[in-house]
Amino acid sequence: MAMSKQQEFVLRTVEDRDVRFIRLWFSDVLGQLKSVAIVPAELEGAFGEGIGFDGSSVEGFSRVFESDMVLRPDPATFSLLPWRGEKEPTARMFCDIHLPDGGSAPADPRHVLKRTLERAAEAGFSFYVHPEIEFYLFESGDLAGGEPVPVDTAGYFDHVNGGTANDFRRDAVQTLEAMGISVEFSHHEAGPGQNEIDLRYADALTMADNVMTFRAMVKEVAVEQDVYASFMPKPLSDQPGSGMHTHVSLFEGETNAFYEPGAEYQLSEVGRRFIAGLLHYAPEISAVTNQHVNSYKRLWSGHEAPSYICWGHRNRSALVRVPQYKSGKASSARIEYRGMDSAINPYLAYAVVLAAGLKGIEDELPLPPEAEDDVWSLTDGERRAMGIRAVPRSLDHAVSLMEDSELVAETLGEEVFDYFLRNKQAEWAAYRDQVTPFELNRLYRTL
Amino acid sequence: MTGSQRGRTRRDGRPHRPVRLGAAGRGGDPSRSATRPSRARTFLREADALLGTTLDAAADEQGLLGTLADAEAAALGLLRLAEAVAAENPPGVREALAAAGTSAPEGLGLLPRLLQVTGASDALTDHLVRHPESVLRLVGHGPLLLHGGASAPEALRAALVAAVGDLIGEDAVTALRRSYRDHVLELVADDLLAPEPVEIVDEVSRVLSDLAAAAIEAGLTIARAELDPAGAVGIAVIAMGKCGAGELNYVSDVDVVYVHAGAGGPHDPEPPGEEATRTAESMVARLTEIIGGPAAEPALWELDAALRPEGRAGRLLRTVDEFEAYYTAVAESWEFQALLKARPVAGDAELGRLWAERTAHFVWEANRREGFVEGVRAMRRRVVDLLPAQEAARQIKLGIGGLRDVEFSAQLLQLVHGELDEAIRVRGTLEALAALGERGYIAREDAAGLAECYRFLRVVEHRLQIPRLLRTALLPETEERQRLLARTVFRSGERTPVRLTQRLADVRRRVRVYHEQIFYRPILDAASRDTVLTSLTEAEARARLAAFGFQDPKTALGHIHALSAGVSRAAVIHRQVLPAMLGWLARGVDPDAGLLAFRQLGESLRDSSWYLRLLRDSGSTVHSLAGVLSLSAYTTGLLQFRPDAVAWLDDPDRLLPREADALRTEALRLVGRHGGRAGPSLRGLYSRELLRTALADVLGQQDLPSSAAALSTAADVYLDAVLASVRAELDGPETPDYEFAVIAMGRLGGAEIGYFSDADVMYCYRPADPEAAKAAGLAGHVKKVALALAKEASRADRLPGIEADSDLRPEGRSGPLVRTLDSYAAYYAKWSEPWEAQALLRARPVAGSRELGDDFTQLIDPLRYPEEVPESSVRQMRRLKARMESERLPRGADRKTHLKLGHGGLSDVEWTVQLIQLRYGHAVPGLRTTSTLPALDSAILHGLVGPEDGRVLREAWMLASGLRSAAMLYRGRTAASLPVDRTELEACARLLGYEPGSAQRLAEDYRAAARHARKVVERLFFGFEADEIEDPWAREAF
Repeated sequence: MAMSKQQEFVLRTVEDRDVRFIRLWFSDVLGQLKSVAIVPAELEGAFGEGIGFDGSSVEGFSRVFESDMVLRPDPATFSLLPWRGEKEPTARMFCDIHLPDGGSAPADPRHVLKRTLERAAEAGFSFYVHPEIEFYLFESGDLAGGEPVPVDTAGYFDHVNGGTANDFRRDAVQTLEAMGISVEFSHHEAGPGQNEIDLRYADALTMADNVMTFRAMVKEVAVEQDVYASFMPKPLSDQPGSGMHTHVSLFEGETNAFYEPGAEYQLSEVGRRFIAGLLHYAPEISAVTNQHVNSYKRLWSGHEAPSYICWGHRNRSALVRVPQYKSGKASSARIEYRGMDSAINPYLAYAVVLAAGLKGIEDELPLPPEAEDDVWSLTDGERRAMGIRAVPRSLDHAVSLMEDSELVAETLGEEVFDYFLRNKQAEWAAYRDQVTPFELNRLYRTL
Repeated sequence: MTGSQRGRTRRDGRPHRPVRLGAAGRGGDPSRSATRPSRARTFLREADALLGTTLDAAADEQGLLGTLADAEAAALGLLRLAEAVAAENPPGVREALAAAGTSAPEGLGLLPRLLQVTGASDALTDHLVRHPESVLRLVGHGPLLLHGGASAPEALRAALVAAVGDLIGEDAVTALRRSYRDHVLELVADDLLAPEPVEIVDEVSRVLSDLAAAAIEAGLTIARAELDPAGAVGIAVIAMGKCGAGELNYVSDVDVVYVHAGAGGPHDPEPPGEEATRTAESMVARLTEIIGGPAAEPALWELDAALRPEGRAGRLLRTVDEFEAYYTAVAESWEFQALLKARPVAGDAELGRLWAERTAHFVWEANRREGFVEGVRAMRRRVVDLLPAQEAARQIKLGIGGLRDVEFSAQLLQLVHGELDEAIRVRGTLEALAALGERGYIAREDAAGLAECYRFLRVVEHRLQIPRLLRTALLPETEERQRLLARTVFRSGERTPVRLTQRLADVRRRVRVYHEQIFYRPILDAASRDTVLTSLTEAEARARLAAFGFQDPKTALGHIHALSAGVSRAAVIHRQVLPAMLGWLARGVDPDAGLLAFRQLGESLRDSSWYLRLLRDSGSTVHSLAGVLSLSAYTTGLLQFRPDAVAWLDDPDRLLPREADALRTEALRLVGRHGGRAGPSLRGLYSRELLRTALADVLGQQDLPSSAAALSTAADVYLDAVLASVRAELDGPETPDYEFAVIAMGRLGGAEIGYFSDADVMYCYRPADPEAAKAAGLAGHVKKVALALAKEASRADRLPGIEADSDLRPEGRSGPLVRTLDSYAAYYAKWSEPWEAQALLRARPVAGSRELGDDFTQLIDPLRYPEEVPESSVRQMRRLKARMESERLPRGADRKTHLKLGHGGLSDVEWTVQLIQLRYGHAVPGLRTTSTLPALDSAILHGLVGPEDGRVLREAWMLASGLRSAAMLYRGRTAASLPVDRTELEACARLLGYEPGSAQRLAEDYRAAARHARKVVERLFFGFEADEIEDPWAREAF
């Protein structure tokens, strides 16, 4: 069997470093990390024929009667896992999922993103992403009927003396760097126990893999420090939710396609249309960028959450922001999509955001005027008069908008689209079926 | 004006000449002989005036101008040369040209050569203008370079190295390139004057390869003088590709890899040190520049080292050990294919020899790798796929039937069999073909034929490159250039573009056929155990079949043996056809089944001379047959019963549906002849029409509506004739007179039946005299007729019949099987709700008494097209449909993909159309049809369905119907849902006209179409509004 250079490299590293297990990672349709461990002796076969598995038990992968699937590890994603919890040297690779006849599995989220990136490549673009990932650190993963208890009471950019958060961020950043994931920035966020770590920009596929790694790694480091990390979009009702503001840019070869010196905010026509596409399609991609019942509690709770569909330059309430960047530094021209939360499936979310932007470029959508006011402070009438729409108010609303979306169907592919809808309809139904403490508190004594 | 300025004016400023096609077609353009030579002669006279020579007179006397490709260009080139000679006056040149004008020996052969070269090559004319003294190289007796000692590899090397001497820098580069081009000048002159270019083309290529090697050697000499005067570094240059194989064309990239060695010489086990490596790298970089970099004297060609280990990312030089390690562990399949042609050409000879010795065996072990053959073939297909469509036809190198097909066929067989047979381990394509033919890996006549095609294509390629000395393999587009090309390709006979085009088309067709057959022919010989013809063992043959996609090669070989062994006429013809047939079957969805079916056909038609003749003479028929056999089990099954239908494949008209009236007449004549025993003949007729339709479907010759119409017509005729036959059997003289009619419902009623549809029917009769009928118990008799009809129609004596199902009759199973028209009228009169008539929307009399059928239609029309449909009735229909959706869908079926009952499936679309028919049929005549698509069209026409909604509904309905038919055609069984099995999906995709490999695309298309249709159905049929959206305003656009 002929090995590629990268496969060679993986085999050699596994031998040199005495790696005992290789974890094959992939994502289910909802963005949950799945893992299969193999021993080094199986590695060559994994590169050759792949590793067969039964896909029927994985969310969204397949129905029982066509459940045979094959994992094909991507050697470019090979990395040692530097967690102290691992007693024996362990490595991981992300996998592409194939059908037994060799074709890509339609339900593989990585495939969905790759396909969308190929579409961008056909138009001459490559897509780069840089996320700011927020999460909470709580005392324990066990709620025992109560509310989650944050590990500290600090706020935005606070330094916490001897605090868990500082140690935690230091360890987390070191671990990420050890895995080759560059960190741009990290700090304490506004909520108690809330932290933010920004990853250095990378191409979208690498970044989606990185986000999957990031979430697994942060949870792992938390366990080691005896705390609990949560990426839930809105874990505390009176504190800000955890978003994943995402900076995106398109490159044509070496050139940043969003950059145009002398234009307003140095933003090129391509950039303006990309934003227009994002704004136009924001409601229908919302079920993907904000996929849980809980996501909408973050979006509609104030705290600078982007509830209204508009764009701005310094406007911290806008859904899309054109950040200030060093003038003349063409490569850092980018736009920030503030809608996503930390619980996304990064493959699917990047795919729909890219597709929306590309559609804006393709259809030459006009960019609506910039919103300069804090849109939260406007009245409904004012917003309406200004043509500013709202993001969906609930998962139910988002799902019904997505159901009518050709853009999302085309981007996800019919099978993932169908599965995703059914899953989210079920999530909504289960949510609606509850009688909540709110209702009991409010009604039980009076009715 | 200087010569070069004049030349530029001519090339760029000249308007396009008018082209006279007709004249050119007759060969020898009268306008040319009348005008061009005279302009040409004006130029020659100007040259004579400049130099005091008599070239014009000599040319005229020897009749030279008429033989040239382009006399005017030739004379103008000579004039430019004359200007240069007059200006520079190089020693001896004036004298030689003067001698050329007389018949003095100093000018021997000069004038014809000069005119040939200047007439065919602008690039060489420029060379002569740059270096007028090179004119002297064209003086001499016989061929200048070819076949002489001067063309030996060592002589060429010595000449170029001597030309460089101990020069360095720009001077050295100029000397090298000039000397190289002087040799090319001699070679082109020899080539253009050769009476039969195809006979010397291999020698021309050989000289070009050795000349390239000599240039590399001389270049290396320069680089060493500049960078390593002490000679500390050992380098060998290995040529790959055409140069390695000794079959270079005039201008091509020359593929090389570089080997270096440590300070101790070629056998030094220590790798070279850092400094030595740096020196070697700069020498190689300099060599590349010397050969192909910009300089005063134009570049020769590109030296391309991309085939080195790890490609462009890899290091430029490696030691022999490193090469060995790479080929052992890392190299991909195609890299071995490249190694096949490798040969040391320059630098340290011992190092080169050592490299060859240590790497040669890798080529021959490559075949042991899994998937090697398929990998190499896939690479070739990709190359063809990547060619832009409009270029593919003009590409004589990469296009189908081009040079690469010949080279590829030879290489693949060398790689497959060279492991065991050293006799075929040769580098050149022509040598390889000869060796493969000699050793029986391909048929000898195939080898000879391919070689002939190859030589011709190479001559054309050379002639394409001579004019500008540019790397090209594209046939020209303009007629002017085509004409020039034709005149250089052909030395005698008609020298017209028409002849060239025809010859090329013929050659490419032959190459394609050889290319398709060459892999399978030896398998055939192995199967027939004809060891005289082949050295392929049975195991090798099985391996080759498996490599090409047969799942069970052992059985396949058995079939091939059965078809081709022996001396019967059938075996002889099968041997001719099978090589191509196997190739076509291998590209189908199920090659093994296709081959089995081909064997069965062959056995049943063993003695039919027309079949054998068809196989032998009609390649397109055999191709179609292979397509049918490897794609459609249903059609194949019917063909087994009616093998003579293979003949229809040869005649597209016979695949057209028969006229309904003609078919009806034929069927009734059968009944007339056989009476009550006509059943088997009628089933034969029915299955014959099924087969005709199926063949046309599989071959993509008709669209879905025509196919459905043809099938429905056949079913109508069949049922009508079976009824006539049954009545002939059962009606006795004592039976009172009565009319009998069969009313079809459902898909047959809609005339949109597929290959497998139960026919929903109702029976109706009308006695001539009700009293007498009652007395004679006619009611019992007609029931017998109906039962006999159902039984006879569905009797499946191996051929398909029609399953008549009468459960949809009034009162269902508990109602009488046959009713009088009056009884129907009485029953329908009891209906209160218009929706009850929905099933009648597709009721259509299909058999029996036409008057009774018409009267039945009269009876039900007011029911199914009522003047008013109350809202309550519409609501009832919607409810009924909603309930059916949850109840009728089979357990475990997927609502998104069930073709009939799923969301956006057939039933969704049909109910939507039927609701519109029910509501508006009384007012819109076009809606009064039993067929879905015409009713939908009419609804669109009258604004009852929006055009976009209509398109969506039509598309979903067509795709679902098409999928049902395709699944039936592929495996002979019905499919209820979008197939899950990938092979079946792939087969359906091909049957629906998709490209191979589109299984997933078809699945996506169906799901999308059904999803869109469901949305329309929810709006049009169910009347759902967008009322579930919390914030309706949010749906508005900006």
